[in-house]
Amino acid sequence: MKIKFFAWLKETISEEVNLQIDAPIKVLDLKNKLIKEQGEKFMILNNESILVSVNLEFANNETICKNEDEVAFFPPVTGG
Amino acid sequence: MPNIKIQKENFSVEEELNSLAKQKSGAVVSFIGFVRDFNETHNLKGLYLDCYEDMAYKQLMDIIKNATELYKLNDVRIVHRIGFIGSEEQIVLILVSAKHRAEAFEGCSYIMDYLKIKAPFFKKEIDTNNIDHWLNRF
Repeated sequence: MKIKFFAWLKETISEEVNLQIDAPIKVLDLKNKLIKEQGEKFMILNNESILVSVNLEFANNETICKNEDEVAFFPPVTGG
Repeated sequence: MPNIKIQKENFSVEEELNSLAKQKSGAVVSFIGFVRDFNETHNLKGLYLDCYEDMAYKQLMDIIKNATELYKLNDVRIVHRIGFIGSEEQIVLILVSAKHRAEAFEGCSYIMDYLKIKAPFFKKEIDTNNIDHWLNRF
């Protein structure tokens, strides 16, 4: 699974993380897996202001993601 | 996606306007957004814009599709800049053509409103001392 980060999350976490998962999991469980396996810097993902997308669509903690999916985390958008 | 451009370069409103289909259109409405020099940072030198481009194209396509259906738009152009953009420079352009002015005004406003909440662009302000600050950082 490809996991991307944008804006200041890119600077504090990483631009991209590749992760293998054995079975589909909820976004909430993915966040906990990242915190457990990759370190405390991922705890910011549990902040309720951080947004998540799965395959280019807005998602939430209950969205199921699979190994072949592209997941992204980013702060509130500020375009325009 | 010929009607959406995400680019570092500045854009020409005239060139984009010339490319907009205007057949059976009684009205064209444009919105041009500029980097304002009166936001959170004093002595603003400019902005740096990060973008999740694949998702931005997808979201903007969906917004155009919805606006076209709701307001019977004939054609739409969206140009959004990324990277460094100097203070007072153009940052975003929306152009719409429609049969009547009310549909053109409302369609343009709808696209801009949804761009502001759905399109993953992220601004960092940079002051004249090169000190930067992400908007919406906590």
